[in-house]
Amino acid sequence: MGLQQSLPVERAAGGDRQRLDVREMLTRYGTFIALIVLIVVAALLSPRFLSPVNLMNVLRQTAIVGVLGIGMTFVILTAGIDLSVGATLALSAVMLAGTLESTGNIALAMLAAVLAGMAVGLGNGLGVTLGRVQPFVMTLGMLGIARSLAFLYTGGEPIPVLDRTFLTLGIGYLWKVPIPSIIFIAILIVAALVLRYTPFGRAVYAIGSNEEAARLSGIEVGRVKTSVYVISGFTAGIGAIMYCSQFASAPPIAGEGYELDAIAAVVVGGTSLFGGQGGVIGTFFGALIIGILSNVLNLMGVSPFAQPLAKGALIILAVLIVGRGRRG
Amino acid sequence: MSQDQRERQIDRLLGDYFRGRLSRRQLARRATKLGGLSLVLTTLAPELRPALAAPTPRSGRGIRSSAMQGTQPVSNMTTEELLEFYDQVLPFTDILPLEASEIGGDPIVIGFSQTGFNHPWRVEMIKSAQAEVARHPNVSMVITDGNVDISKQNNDVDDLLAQDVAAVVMSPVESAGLAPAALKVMAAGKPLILLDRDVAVEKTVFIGQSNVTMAKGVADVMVEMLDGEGSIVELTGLIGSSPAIDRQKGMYEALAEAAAITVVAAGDAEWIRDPAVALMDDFLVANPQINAVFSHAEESSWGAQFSIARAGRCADNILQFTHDASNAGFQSVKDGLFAADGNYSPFIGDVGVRAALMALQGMEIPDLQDYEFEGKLYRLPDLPVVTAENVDEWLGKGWGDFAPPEDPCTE
Amino acid sequence: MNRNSPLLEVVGITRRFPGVTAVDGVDFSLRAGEVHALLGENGAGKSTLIKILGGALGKDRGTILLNGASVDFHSPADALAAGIAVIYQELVLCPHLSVAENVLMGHLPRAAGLGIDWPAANRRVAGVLAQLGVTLAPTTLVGRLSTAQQQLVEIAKALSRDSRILVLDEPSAALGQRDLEHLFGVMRLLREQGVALVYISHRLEEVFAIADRVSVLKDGRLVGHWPIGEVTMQGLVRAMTGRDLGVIGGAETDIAAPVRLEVRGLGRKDAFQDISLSLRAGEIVGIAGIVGSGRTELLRAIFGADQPETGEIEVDGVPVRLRSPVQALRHGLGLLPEDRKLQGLLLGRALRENVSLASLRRFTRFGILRPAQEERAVRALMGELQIVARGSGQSVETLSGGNQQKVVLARWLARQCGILLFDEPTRGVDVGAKEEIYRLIHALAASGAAVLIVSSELKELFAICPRILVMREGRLAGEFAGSHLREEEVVDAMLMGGRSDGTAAVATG
Repeated sequence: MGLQQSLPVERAAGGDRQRLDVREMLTRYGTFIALIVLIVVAALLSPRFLSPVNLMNVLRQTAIVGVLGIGMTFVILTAGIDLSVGATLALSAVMLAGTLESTGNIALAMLAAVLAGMAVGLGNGLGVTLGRVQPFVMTLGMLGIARSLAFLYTGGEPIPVLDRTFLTLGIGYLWKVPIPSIIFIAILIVAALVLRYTPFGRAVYAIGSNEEAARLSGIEVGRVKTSVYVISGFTAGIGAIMYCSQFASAPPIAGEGYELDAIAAVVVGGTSLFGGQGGVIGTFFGALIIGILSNVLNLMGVSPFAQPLAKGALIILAVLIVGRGRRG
Repeated sequence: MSQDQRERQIDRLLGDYFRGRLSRRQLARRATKLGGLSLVLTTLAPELRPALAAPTPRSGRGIRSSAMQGTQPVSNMTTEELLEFYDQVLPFTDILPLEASEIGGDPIVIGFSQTGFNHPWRVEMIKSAQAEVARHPNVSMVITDGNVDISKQNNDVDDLLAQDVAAVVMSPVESAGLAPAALKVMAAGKPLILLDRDVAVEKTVFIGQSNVTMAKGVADVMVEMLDGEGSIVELTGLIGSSPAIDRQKGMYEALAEAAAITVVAAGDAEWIRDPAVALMDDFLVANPQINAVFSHAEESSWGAQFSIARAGRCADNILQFTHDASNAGFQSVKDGLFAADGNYSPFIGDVGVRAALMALQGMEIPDLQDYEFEGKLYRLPDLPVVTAENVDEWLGKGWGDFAPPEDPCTE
Repeated sequence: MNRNSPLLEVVGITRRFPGVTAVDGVDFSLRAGEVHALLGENGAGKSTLIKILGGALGKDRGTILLNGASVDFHSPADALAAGIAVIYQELVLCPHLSVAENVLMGHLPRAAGLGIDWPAANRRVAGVLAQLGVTLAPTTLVGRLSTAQQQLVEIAKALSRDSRILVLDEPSAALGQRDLEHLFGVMRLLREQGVALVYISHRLEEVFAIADRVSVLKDGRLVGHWPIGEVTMQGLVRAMTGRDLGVIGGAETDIAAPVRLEVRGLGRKDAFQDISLSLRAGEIVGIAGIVGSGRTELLRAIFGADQPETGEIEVDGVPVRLRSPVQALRHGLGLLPEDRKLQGLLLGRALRENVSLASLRRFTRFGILRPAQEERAVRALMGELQIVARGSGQSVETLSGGNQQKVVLARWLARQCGILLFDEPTRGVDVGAKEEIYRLIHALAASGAAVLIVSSELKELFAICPRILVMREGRLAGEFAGSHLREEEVVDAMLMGGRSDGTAAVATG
């Protein structure tokens, strides 16, 4: 016996083979293809789109939602969701600005932002794992809590961020690229490597693909799931650093609705809301697609009344293209 | 039928609807016939930002403040500080003037139902009301926090009536949603003073500034400074909210007489900073020539300035016209970052309290006008637009005590 | 109707998919009142053929003659209207509706007014069920029924539409012995009533028990068809695989070997009570029992997937408390779960990730995975287990059942577990793969692993286990080894719970 006898199995399984290749192609590269198409269309519609200044603008505008999207990708890969990231960003931002105001120490302030984000994430994670609360409900509740804490901390007023050195982080350039974009891409690369080349990354996919199978294979499901929410909180903290340094202000209403933009970037990027499929590179493309879209609409001077329509339609379209590959 | 007539008719329809004379369907049908369904929907739709989980520092029954207390709640100021604030800062003290003394003989409790405590503008309004209360030893005030929530504010007014306050001063979350509360106050036979935002039913008096004329004032300055020509971009407040609609209307009224000024782009900056930065980034790329930014909010203007600096367009000398009247905004006018700041003052609480006290004393409130709704209107005069010329006299007389960002164009 | 002229005749059916011809010029005929078994390894083309018959797939070439007239189905509804009903492995019933609603779905009788005539509906369904010899209240919610009962509801649904041809796609995969006997009873009843049945199964003994004729497919082609009396089991295996089924005798227990796993008085509420057993190095022990006897629950509790309430577990003579699979793994235990799709596989993920999932630490240095090492190990296992796939990156979703099962097995081989708990290791696996799995289990035991196997197929346990424990209603009902290892006794213990005096049968020799 051996290969000779087993051949029929392969041939029959190959019955779906060609179709699978197309499907896999679409699943894997669908977002990328959509991005290229969008870039071409954008360049045709607006001659200024491809100017270096504009491309740098798009990269910078994408950075915050993109970073949140990276954390969100980890959560969604485990079949969870994190609705609290926008509010967490606000809490981290006011902690950062408050710390900076009272100590003048930039490192300490950024640490405060990141720690606040991770603390919120830890709360989410423990609620989901130990408390067995649905992620949607847990993080929805946390959204309210974090937002309220931000309001209580500031009394409603924005805290100005006036430290010039710190503001360079948001406004400055490194090798002619906006610093926020560099931070975004650095985190993206680390996240992609973690997902691909660590046991933790494997566990994330395994849990999203089949939690019970993962548990029976000795994956510490609770620990991994808690960690993804902490990661999401961490990226919210990074997002807060970018926010404060770009906008020189930490209002308690910062980041309102960012969670939906982040989820949209993840979904357009081809990550399945059911978990186990996708990755951060897709989220990068997804964030770019959404960023480029609003950029082009602004460049073309589309009425603000019509912009949400165009964005909504394009998100659905992008997911249709990617989803076509997935569901077959 | 002119636009104005049509609007007045629709307002009348809305009034009938709130008094229960029209069903919702009848309202919709007649409004559609007038071509104004969207206007009706706009009026009925919730305005401004939704209520976020704002803190609720109130007990179930509101927060009491009176001249007898040491430090006042919400504003955290002593009576002395409030009296000084009254003399030094408040811009409308000559409107409906009232002596600083006891009013009548008995203690008077006034209810003040505020939209919410989550924005400094709202807190400053309360501060101005407290300053008026501080001038009358026998008057005290109960303040409630509506959490920017219609049902919460309706309940607040119920609470105030249950405490048998003598009069109610209210700044409603939303025009339509607070009509029931207003009807209850009037049914209880108590004076009802509405501040800043109206409801379409009976009231003693509505006291407000006009976003339309104020924005027109700012835009007039803009037209003048641009010598009547140029390209401008508009950064609106949250799309569909009534102040944003009014400020846009005011701008276009001014531009109607300046044909050589074109609005080359407009975007929804949501009253805040971050959307304005992204919008301005893109507008700057798309338009090689921009002479001015007309923004509905200071926060958005500051955001636009970051974008201008980053794009290396400081040298274009793009003028910034904005609204909000915060101290930080006035400072930015002083610094040259803003060319003009629309003076939409929160310091109208004292006028409201005086109107309530006058009504309680049976005094006649002067200069009342009839208008499209039931009850009377007291239209506050527009405060002067703050520009480089008059900024020195206004510094410190705005609201809020946060600092403006440094002008990134003055490195 | 003439009993000898075929009711259904399929001539030269061909169906291509890009890159492969799944069914290639197959002829097949079906007479009224016969059970016709359709055999073939996974991927031989059985599924494609019955999907074409059922209208779920179109054909590229060939003719389908029904009662001598050519027909062309464009949808399952067409086929149903023509009297052909296919009952697929995955049942498509609505769990929240009653038996009657499911059976009569789409054609519930109307009352005089607009409502549904429930008494008439229930009467009609009760009639159909009686025709099947089934006692089931038409008002029961389908979700409350066992898999076996749900299958009967599917059959009733087909009959209620006057289907004359019934295709059963591996109905036995989810059934225990007793349920299977009942199903065969129903099938015989239908055969007498002139219904033509196509029966698909991996289990040859079932085919000999029920079929009148048998057709064998291989590589999408028809190998041949024979009356059942004219073929032997060996002959069928040869036809299906092109080779003989090797007989593997059970390895004898080495009494001197050290005890790896000792379980004493283990109990879990509503699942099993007072289970004691021991497992030596190199030993293969089977656990027999009907579905619901607590066998699966026992394996899960030993593995720490569920928590037992009473009893103790010793690994290599040391008492352990296994609160989670993580701890069980640390003590060298591995569990091949009962349902590979629900509990074993990461369906959308690559073969590689599935295999290395339980032994990631092996391929990690300083917290970083080493893909080359992992790939090498996975490749080696793919070779050892003869897993057929395009590569280690292929999604396991697209593998055949047998290869999927081997992937889960490979996961535990990669982990190098010393104590293996196998729950239905060959369920839904074709004959060739089955044999490879048996061989593998033997190799594992020979290399010193201790293996505990739960299976619904007695033949399988007899083929590979020198010692068999019997569970019934959550208790040990017998233990058989050596000369006492006889099928009748084991079945007796499974169904009756040992001798009439109530004590468990213990017979070793």
